[in-house]
Amino acid sequence: MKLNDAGGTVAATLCSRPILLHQLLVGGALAALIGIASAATLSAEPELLEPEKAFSLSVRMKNKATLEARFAIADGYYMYRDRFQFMVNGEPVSKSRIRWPAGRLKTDATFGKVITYKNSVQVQIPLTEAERKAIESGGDPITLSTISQGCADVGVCYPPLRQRVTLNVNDGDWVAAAGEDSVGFGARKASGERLSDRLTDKSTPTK
Amino acid sequence: MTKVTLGLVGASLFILFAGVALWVDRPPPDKSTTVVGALQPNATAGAIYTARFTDSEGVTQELGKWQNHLLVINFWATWCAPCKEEMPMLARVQEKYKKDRVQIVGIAVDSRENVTKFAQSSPAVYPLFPDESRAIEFSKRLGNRLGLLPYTVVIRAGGEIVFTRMGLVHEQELVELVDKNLLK
Repeated sequence: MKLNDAGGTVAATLCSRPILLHQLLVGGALAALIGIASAATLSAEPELLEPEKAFSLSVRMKNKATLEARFAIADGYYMYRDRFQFMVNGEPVSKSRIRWPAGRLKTDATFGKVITYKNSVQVQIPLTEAERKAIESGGDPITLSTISQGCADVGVCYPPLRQRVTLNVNDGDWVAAAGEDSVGFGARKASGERLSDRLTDKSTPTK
Repeated sequence: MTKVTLGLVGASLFILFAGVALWVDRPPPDKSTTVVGALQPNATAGAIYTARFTDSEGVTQELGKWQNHLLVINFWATWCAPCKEEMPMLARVQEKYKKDRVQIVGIAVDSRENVTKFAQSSPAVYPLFPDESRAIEFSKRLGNRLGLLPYTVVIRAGGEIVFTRMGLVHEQELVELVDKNLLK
């Protein structure tokens, strides 16, 4: 018997039992799907972002009298409105002075009704007359310091995050100064290096 | 072989290969989110048992006080909803093992004022230590890379860390851990 014939015979034999073939295929597909689901589960442990990446701050002058802070919020993360604090050139900004976007009303089992933001939040801060005059007269830089706090949907929360951006006048445009401080509460710039002394680095093999 | 059968064969192979590819390409587990192995006992004991914290009533205690206990350290804060969600569970576990050498402590990334206020409204059956300035750093030394909350560490008597978890711990899981690691 030629190979083609043999193949044809096998195929014919299988095709003569279409129900069995279909059962095998469906079984195989289900097994493969279960495999995918298992792999997905194993890799589904939360890989959480550094706070500055989860809640990325950018600042601009919206117009001569208004500063705008934008937090780009990564997928799967959210921020609380009540947890924001702002300072312009070191002076606290009262919450009533801030223009907030609508946000989402969330009923939290612990905190009750709270306003949260997902994806992004743009906050407008009208400058005081004194701040405007200082900028207009001398072209002084303007520094916005923020404290914010958010969580990940997987059920963990980030400590309050302190960030700071300074805007300078450059050829009539406001640009953010390079190398601004943007580190989390309680952390230091060298925190990456300090991870080397984490106790887990000395761990014995996983049990 | 019919077109339908061929289609099924193709789809099955595709799914099979996709499953294998996902399995092979899966990222390594993040140890900060899962159970980790034991640490070097001396380093662990030294780092943990010499740490001193002051509770919400102003009493300073050294964790070494519980070095003969199974010690469960829970990092939390009043501003952290999932943390507050798991605290009743921790209280139940503490109650369940109150006659055993099991001690749960809550170290708060929070102000004394907030923790005192919280303790007045929700009395805890285990000590709560507010330490806004040092708690995160201490939790990082115990493997909490990003300083996220809640974060729980289970330490056998003598200083061996047997479990860490970033995120909620389930009651059954904690009870099983305690049963397994408690010195009888």
